Amino acid sequence: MKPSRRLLLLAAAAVLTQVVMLSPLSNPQPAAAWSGAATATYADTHWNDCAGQSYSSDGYLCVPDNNCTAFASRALHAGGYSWVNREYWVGPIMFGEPASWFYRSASDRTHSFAGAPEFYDFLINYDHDQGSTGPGGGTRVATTSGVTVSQTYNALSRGDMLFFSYGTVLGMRFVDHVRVEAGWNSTSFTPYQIAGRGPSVNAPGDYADQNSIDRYHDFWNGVYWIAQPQNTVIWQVHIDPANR
Amino acid sequence: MTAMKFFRLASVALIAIVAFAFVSSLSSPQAAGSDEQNIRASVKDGIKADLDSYTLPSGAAPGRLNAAQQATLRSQITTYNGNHFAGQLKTDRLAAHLAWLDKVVHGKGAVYDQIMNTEKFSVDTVVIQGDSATATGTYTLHFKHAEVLDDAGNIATWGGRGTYSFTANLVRVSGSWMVQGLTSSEVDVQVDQSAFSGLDKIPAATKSFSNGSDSIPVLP
Repeated sequence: MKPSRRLLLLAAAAVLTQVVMLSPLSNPQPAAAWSGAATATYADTHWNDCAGQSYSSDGYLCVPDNNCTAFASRALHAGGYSWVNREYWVGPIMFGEPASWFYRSASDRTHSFAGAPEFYDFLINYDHDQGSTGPGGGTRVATTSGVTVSQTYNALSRGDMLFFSYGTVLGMRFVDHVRVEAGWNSTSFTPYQIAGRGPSVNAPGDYADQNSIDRYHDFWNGVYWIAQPQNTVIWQVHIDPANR
Repeated sequence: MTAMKFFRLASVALIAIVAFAFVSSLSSPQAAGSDEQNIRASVKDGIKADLDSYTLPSGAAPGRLNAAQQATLRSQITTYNGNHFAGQLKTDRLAAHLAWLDKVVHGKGAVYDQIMNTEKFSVDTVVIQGDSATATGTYTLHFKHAEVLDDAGNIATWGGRGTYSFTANLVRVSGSWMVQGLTSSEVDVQVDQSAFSGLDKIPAATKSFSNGSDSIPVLP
């Protein structure tokens, strides 16, 4: 190859790299501020989208084994929390953590989109709201160690995130699961109803939506499904409405 | 060294290497097989002990444990954690169990198991890398939990039957395989309505935030 042609190719590669760095994400960036109500409404509407499906009704990949986080990410973005791409390389999903969080296609998405620990790290560490609530766009406002039926209410608003840890891996406690806070009510315990995988709570208290296993308005801390409530830890993460 | 001599020496060396590799290939599956059996047993024993660890001895009731019952529970907790767990998991579990024991002694707020039967237990995969290993599998439980709601001793109960998947990290300590990491997740759980009682006795509460409004204050 002639030196001039090689230089030309290098220049083209540099330009291409810049294009990749600066190209906007294909998903439209929400202009309005993030709305917890909109996130909760999305969760209430799409909670069972992926049941037996490869894609959700709005075109997202249903991620086997990790759909809880994909569902929470979709809900957060639908509420106005914009995708973030702060890395040079936006192709393989192995790159761009935790300062990136986006979904452009089934094959072009970050780990933080569908991985619960990475999603948690992104929310807590990436300064999405530009300092409104400290270093992250989300803030851990409470920790619940051991879940019980009498923990009626949590410290969260609609659209906030509940991160569950069920144990210890290699000496560290990791995030295993995430739910979307959908609201709260003050109805009576009687009659108490739990109906498998559908609407599953008729009790005073906060309720949450989740995917895989799909649940709608389940009691917020999931106590009725957990084998060892004593070993479960929940990190309650509030999303700052200043995010957009 | 002549070329012929070099060729002979190289041939002998090559044969020795092939023979060593052959012998190694025969012996390593036996060692791995033995390790795998030990790992399967360690995982099963560790998880079952962990699942059973929140059940009270016969005749014991939260808030009314006598000194002997407390001592027995404390001894069991220390023993089973030492026998099955290692590292940070052992530290965490021991702290959690002792904190749980304190709650049980106090009564109010204690969550304990009235039923915890392991109906099926399956170790599906074992991957060994030197002195560490990872095992995955599932177990099926029939459980009934209880929570002491107040100082009067009212309890709420709930329960079901469910299958859970688990991942266990193990480490070889003095020749024994110990669980040093353990996490599980729900595969399929069906609640048992007949196990539910006392939920209407949960003290009434209202949703409130620290600023008295209906939404969380923006933190500094």
